[in-house]
Amino acid sequence: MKLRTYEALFIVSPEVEDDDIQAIARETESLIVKNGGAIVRSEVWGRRKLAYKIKKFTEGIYILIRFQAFPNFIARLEHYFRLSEHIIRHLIVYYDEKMLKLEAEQERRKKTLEASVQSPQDDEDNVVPIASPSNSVEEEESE
Amino acid sequence: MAHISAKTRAKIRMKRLKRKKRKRVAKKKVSRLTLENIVFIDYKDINLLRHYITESGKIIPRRITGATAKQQRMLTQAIKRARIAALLPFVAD
Repeated sequence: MKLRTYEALFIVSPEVEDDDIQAIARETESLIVKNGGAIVRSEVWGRRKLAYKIKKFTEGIYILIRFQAFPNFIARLEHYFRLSEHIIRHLIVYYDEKMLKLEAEQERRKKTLEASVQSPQDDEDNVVPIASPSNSVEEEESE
Repeated sequence: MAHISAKTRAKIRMKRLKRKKRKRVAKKKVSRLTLENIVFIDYKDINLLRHYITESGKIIPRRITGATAKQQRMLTQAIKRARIAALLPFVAD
């Protein structure tokens, strides 16, 4: 079996303390690694308003993990997400070769565009602990 | 009514024909995606996706946005994923 690249985005209940968020992220990461996978990158976006209510919550804590794993592990991860009481929503996306290639190409084009325009923009690739991308953009504008 | 010469009548007919023709020529729309050289649409990029949904949250059709079939497929997929992740609404009121 070959390792495949996936991206898991999950939303943690806003009732969870900030310290425990890291623990939940670490727990998920270790589950992936234990099953023969590898973490590509892991981001905690932090608290974010939800576009609609989920389990009566209006906000949630977003965690994004890009990882490599065997296809048969995904069902188990899915199961783990569903059983977890703190995780109120999850989304696992499979990135095939073509998508990865396009994404890399897009990243490159974005960079050349930014270099030519010379507009300092926040790179989403940076692992920013507890800071949503939209917030950081707002901060830049206010400066 | 004044007499109109055959020459003027022909002129008028030509003008009408021209007008008809001009009406039929559709303006070719080019989407922002093509202009900005975008080849990959990420479901996490809600600032981009916002341009392709209506105020009520519906996906805007291709004939209005001018996206190519390929781009529209990617957009649709990305918008649907963003909805699941509660980044975009299913219905906004």
